[in-house]
Amino acid sequence: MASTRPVLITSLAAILMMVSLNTPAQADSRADIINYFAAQATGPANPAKGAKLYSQAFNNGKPDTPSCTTCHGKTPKQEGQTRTGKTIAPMAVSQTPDRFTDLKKVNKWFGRNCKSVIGRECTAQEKVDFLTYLSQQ
Amino acid sequence: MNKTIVVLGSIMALAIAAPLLTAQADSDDHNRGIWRGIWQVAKSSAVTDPLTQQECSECHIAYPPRLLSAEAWKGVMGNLSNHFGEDASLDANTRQQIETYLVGNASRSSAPGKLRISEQSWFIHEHQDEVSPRKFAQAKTWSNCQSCHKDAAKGLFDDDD
Ligand code: HEC
Ligand code: HEC
Repeated sequence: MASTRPVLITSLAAILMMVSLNTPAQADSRADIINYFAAQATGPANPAKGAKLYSQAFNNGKPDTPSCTTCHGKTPKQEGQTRTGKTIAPMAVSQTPDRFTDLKKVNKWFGRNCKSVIGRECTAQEKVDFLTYLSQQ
Repeated sequence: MNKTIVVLGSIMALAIAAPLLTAQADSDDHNRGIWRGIWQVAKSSAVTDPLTQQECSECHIAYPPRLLSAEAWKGVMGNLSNHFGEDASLDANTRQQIETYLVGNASRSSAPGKLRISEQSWFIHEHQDEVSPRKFAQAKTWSNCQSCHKDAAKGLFDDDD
């Protein structure tokens, strides 16, 4: 019976490993990410402005992507689709609970899509407004 | 013999055998199915680099490196901020690693200045007269390979759809 122990410990370790492999690598808190941009913003968060940013059409960006909703859902609770046909999960946190929980990912996509749609970087204020709006959706 | 080992062993053996057994039961001609699977893996041209797979499959399938020439891949990777009408920028380190993989696994020659797979002459030749207007309307763009080739993400394009 003495040899049962190592076997049990090994299988426990194996199970733990499998569990940890299944958890996402990144887990920043959404509140921390919003605070990170809020610290650089010029005023308090304004979700109404975030809503406008989400649906508005711009004309200084790349011609194929005039608005966030070119690829994202018409409303944030709806799915979207890339120009190459891939489904994009809704941006609303109520629909996609792991939205905005990885700062690196958030920075990557603001970096790309602000330039594609608006033709420039977004300001910290715009980012706070946008994230606050979508967190409440 | 230790009881625990026997129990754990049987559970593992079952876990491995069960899917194989059900797969066999599902298929009328399971031998053919298994050989077809092995053949597909062998000839598939799917992306094997995890970083490229992750970063280049965000908006479309990660296109297999061997469908473009080294020159064309350099052209694509050198202009990510203006990527066929979108900004697909990456940090310098990631960009470099992906370029190295794609260029190192490139094949096919491609026409100078033509960066799309879908504008190479072999592609036009393969697709000319093969696609109904309805199929194309569904896909919207040639870049949407998997709309017509359901296993495109696995690097397979010779299905009969
Ligand atoms: C932000 C979204 C996005 C990302 C990320 C992205 N692409 Fe693209 N890609 C596109 C779009 C949009 C098109 C063009 C669609 C069209 O013209 O219909 C495209 C087209 C292409 C084409 C031409 C396809 C054809 O029609 O032959 C290649 C090659 C390509 N991408 C390679 C890459 C590589 C390599 C990466 C990773 C470094 C990448 N893409 C990442 C959006 C993206
Ligand atoms: C609108 C539908 C459609 C789209 C989009 C499409 N294809 Fe095809 N493709 C076809 C059809 C139909 C054929 C010819 C029948 C066949 O061989 O499967 C074909 C043939 C091919 C072949 C030759 C296969 C063989 O072994 O004979 C390759 C390779 C291929 N396509 C690659 C691509 C790639 C890569 C893309 C995306 C950049 C793409 N296709 C987009 C419909 C499409």
